[in-house]
Amino acid sequence: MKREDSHPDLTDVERRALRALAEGPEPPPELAAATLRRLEESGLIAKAGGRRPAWRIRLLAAAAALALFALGLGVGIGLRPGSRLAPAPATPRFALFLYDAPDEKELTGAQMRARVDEYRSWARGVRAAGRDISGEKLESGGRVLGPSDAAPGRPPAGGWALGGYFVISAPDLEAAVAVARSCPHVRHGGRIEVRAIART
Amino acid sequence: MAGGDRPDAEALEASAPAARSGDDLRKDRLFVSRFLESRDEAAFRDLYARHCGALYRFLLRLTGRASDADEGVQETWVRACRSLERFAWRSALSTWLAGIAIRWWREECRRRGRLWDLEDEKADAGVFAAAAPPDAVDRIDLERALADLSLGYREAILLHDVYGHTHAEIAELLEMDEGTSKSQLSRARRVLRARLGEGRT
Repeated sequence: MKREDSHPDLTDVERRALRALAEGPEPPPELAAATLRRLEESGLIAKAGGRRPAWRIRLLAAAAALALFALGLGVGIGLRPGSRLAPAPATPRFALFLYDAPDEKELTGAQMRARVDEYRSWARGVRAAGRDISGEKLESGGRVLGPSDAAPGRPPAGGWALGGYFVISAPDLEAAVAVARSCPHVRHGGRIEVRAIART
Repeated sequence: MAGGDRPDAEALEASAPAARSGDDLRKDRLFVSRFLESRDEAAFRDLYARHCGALYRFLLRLTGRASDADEGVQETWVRACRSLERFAWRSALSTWLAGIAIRWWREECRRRGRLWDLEDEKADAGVFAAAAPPDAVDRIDLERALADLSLGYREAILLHDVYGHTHAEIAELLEMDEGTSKSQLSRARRVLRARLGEGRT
């Protein structure tokens, strides 16, 4: 049994590779503004252009909201007095729908587990690169509601089955498509439909 | 196997992100004192600009999610600005910020019930002892292996091997003794190397 304090020194190769991880993406530009809003809301910094403390800002916002309400315009048009300020605009999100080919062979339990591990490993790589990602494998079957000829998501003709999905963050459609291209599903003969998620 | 006393290893130590010069320290002190005097946006932006990149990337590696890193940056600064007056400069400002970020993320993990993050610590690290060091390390493989580590091991690797903090700094930061920090790093390196080995086979 090895002693617990036998330090496994890093090789130079490992050491350099680890140090290189300190380099990476820059924070999104809007993060500075979001942080400032949080600090203002918490009363930790004075608002730009005037050094009004947070309680006064909240009081003014509440008064403005009341005035709007009195005018019949309703409250909350971006003021939301007393609540935490809205976070910075989120990065756009895209849904990746994974269709299995019509001639996809039935996988054994072990093959299925290996396949799921492969997709999970890919997803972890996407996440490690700084993108949000979530997703699930879908069970086959289910029900379609509505008119009898309705089909969920208008799947491609020819017996392709919707087998799973991922939701990722990406700055735009092209970036989302690039991520989708790297998914093992494409290599396994599957089809991926990339759709932007509507911002509400 | 490289020893820590080799000249190139020493040069690498000196270039570590946490190895900050006296000039860096003076600038940090100046910017902090300006901010504490004015508590205004301009002074905060100066302070933020000096540290936001490293803090964001640290949180990105720690949490593995861009949205959590965004939230972590905001929460770290809120907490830092609350207690900046009491900051005693026993460590670099960047080290202190990293400590705040780690405590926030631990709270978040507890709040979200991410108990699975403790799995590595429960495993017998002895089974990983035989893993051979790799000839080359692919960045993507390393990022994945690091992201897969338990939180405690990830903290150890990030603080010591990625950001170059000393065991003394880590011990103060995480309120543990230096021996614990060293043994934690030791186990973390074994598991990380074994994970990289799994990727090669």
